[in-house]
Amino acid sequence: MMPKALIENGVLSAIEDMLENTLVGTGISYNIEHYQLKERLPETIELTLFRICQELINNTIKHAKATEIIVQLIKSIKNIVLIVEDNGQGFDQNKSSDGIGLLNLTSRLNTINGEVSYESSSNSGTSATIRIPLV
Amino acid sequence: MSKIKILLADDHQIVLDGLKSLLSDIDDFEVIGAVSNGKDAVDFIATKEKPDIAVLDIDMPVMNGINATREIKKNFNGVRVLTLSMHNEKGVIQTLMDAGADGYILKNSSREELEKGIRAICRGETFFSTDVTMSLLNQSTEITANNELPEEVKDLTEREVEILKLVAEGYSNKEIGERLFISHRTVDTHRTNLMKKMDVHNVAGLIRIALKSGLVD
Repeated sequence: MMPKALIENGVLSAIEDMLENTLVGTGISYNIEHYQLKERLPETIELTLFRICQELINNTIKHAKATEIIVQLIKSIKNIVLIVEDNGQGFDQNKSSDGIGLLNLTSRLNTINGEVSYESSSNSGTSATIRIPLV
Repeated sequence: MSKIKILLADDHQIVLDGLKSLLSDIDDFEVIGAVSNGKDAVDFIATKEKPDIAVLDIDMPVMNGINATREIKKNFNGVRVLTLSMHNEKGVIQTLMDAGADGYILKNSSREELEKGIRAICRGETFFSTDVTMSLLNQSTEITANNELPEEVKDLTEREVEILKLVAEGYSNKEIGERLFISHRTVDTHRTNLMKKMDVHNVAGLIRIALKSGLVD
C-alpha cells in the first residue's frame, strides 16, 4: 500500500513523516537534507526510495544503538541518491551477511537498475548509499 | 445564547453516530446534520441549512474532506471548517491549511480536545492538535549550491575533487575505483583524507560540502 503522504506530497514529505512517526520515543534524533528535489519523481522510484528508507531506519533502530540519523536525498542530472547514515556501533562488513530485509531491498532496487553500498566501521556508524539512475 | 450549529461528515457510520452523540451531549452544541461524504456535506449546506462549523473527515468516498473544505470555503462565507483525521502527516496537513481549513484534530484526540477545538474555531481562531503542531515545526533543509568554492575545497587536489564529486553522486568506493582505474582501497584512503581536510566526521558531511560547492550538476 502506498502511504497517503507519498501519493499526495511526494517522497521527501513521506520520508519526513515516516522518520517523525517512527523515531518518536526512540531517543534518536534525525535530520533530513535534500538537493535539487523540486519536482516529483516517477512513482516507482518514489515508492522504492520510501520503502528502502523505511527498511534502513528500522535496521538502525533495531541494531545500531545510534542517537542520530541523517537522511540526504539528492537529485543530479543523472542520478537520484539517497544516503541514510547513523552514528551507531556500525557492523563488520566482512562478517555480516544480508538479512531478509536487505535482500528484499536489493531486489527492489534491481528492478530499476539501482545500486546500494554500505560504509561501516565499528566506531563510526553506518552509512548506506542508494543510487538510482534517471533515464 | 444561541447554539453552535454543527454539520458532521464521516463515511464510517459508527464514527458518525459516535460523534453525533458526543457533541449533542454538550448543552450549547446542536448537530444539524450528519452525512457520509464531502459532496453530501456541500449539498447539505447549499440546500438545507448553513452550519456555523463543518466537522469533516479527510478520507471519504465521492468527495474527500480536502476538496469539501475547498468547496465550502469558496461558496459559503462564514462556515468554518474543522477537519478530523488519523493522519499526522505534514504534507496532508499543509494541503488542508492551503485549502482553508480552520483546524485539524487527530482522531485519537479526547472529547475535551474536540470540544475545545470547535469552540476556538467558532470564536474565529484556528485550532490544531498539539501533535500536529509539532510535526509542522520539523522542517527538512534544502541544500543549495553557492557559486563560490568554499576555502576547504580550494585546498583539495584535482583527484580529491573528482572523488568527492563521485561520492556525492552516490558511487561506491568500488565503482569509483573502476571509473578512475585505481584500487578501491586507494579510493578509501582519498575519502579518509577528504574527511580530515574538510574536518567532517561522516559521509553526509562530505556530501553536504560537495553539494554546496556546486560539484554536483
